[in-house]
Amino acid sequence: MNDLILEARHVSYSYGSGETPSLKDLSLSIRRGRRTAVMGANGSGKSTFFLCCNGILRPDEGQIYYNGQPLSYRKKDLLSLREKVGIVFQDPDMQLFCASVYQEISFGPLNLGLPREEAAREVEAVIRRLGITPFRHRPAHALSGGQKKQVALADILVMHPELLILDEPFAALDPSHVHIIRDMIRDLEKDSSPSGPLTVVIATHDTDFALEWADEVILFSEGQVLAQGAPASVLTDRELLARASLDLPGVIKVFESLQAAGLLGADLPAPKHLDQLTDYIRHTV
Amino acid sequence: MLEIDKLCYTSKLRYVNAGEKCFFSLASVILCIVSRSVPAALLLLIASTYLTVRRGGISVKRWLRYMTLPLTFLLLGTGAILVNISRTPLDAFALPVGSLYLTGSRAGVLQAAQLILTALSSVSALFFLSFNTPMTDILGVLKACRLPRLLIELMMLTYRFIFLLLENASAMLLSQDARLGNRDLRTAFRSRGMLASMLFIRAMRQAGSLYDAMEARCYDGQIRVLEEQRPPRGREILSIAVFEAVLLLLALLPFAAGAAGAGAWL
Repeated sequence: MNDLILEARHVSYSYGSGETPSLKDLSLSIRRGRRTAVMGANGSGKSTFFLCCNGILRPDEGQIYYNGQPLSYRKKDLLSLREKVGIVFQDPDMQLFCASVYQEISFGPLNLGLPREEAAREVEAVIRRLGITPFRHRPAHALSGGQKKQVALADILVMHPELLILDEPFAALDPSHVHIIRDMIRDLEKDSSPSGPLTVVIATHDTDFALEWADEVILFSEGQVLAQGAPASVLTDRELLARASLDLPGVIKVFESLQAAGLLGADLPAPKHLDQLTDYIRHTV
Repeated sequence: MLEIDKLCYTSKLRYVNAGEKCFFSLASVILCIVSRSVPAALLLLIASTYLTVRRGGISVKRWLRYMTLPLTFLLLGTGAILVNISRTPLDAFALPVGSLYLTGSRAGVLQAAQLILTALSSVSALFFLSFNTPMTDILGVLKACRLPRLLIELMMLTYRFIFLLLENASAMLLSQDARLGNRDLRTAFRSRGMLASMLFIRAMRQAGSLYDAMEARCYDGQIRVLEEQRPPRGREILSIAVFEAVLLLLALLPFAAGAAGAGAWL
């Protein structure tokens, strides 16, 4: 099977003639089973690109390939594409349309054509798995932001996509919910759909998270791909990050200043997370 | 309205089968209104109060507060039936005003009392339904009654978006207040105008995003969702059946008495 799950070749899109294009001749590829972080400033085209990935938006120019096949925009093909590509939207209020949590989550599986009993089993399973049980009987308007996010994630996971896109999953969450959502994302890696491992794409501004979590980082800037590569190389490049309006990860800042002060060896590879940096320090001292 | 919405999610009767609750309140309302029977109305008033306050766990104070609202309207409205202006005094009461009388007949007084009681008991039965049944459950019942799909889908979306609209509006109002946007009548008018137009724009945008999000989940023009089943209980069905039977009996009583009276006279 094709190693690339999704590929964009020279994609351009603008929301209306005369508007500045949101995507400009954008090319990138996402590998199957790899954790990909898509990063860039607000308005750099991440969300627009995601909407192109499942055919909600159709590029003005260029082509998107899913599993090596160019996207077809016939209704039937779009539906089968959307069964495989799941998007968790940034603002859950723009995604949740039901007042009842249970009904909300059951929408996807029924659209997949599952029989009612099986859909109910799936909904119950995802409610248990994502820890929604304590507030499953509350109406959507009585949920906190973090709880809405959990439901929004359940909405999509219950459909068992091959490619899961999370658009800024940590936006506007308190630290405890950031932890909950992070743990959920780590937990997702155990998932696999019939056609192979789950591929997760996350849009985020959090370079520390991307450094630790991702196998691959794609930097967006003004509708174009600025860089694509391993986190250890992309996320340690000050100049690149500055062009994408992103911060150097905190771990790297500390690591570099410790190196500069001669406290850590100059030949050490960049740490992926705080624990690794702590290990370095423990071994040196 | 928002308070009622909160109440029904915390009611102890929330998880009772919604069909039972709807049948109880609608059948009772119809029986009471059609028969205009005073004993039936009294019984229903007591039953809805008991169910909502004792079984549903809603405080007496709150219940009375909600019940006084329709009562005020009823008292004002029935004044017209009660009081006549006439040259001759009627049998119930008469208040001379110049050469005329503000007066009422016994039949009029009875009729007004009957009207108030019937209306009040019907309102109490509807309050029982709305204080103990979340909107989503009521929609489930309507769906089971084979109401057109489009209507139900619209109601479902409307219900969800009422709250988003209110949230948006109150946030904007707060931020206008914080910037002295409502310091006098002039600025208040201007601010409200802007608020309305911003709300409209946001609602349009939100509708667009929602549609995208639904399409992303394979929406094909039909909203299909699972209902959480709360099976009806035999005991509850039996209680409701007995109650409605008693209500029917009370409603038929005057006719039965009339027939018996006619029989004796013959």
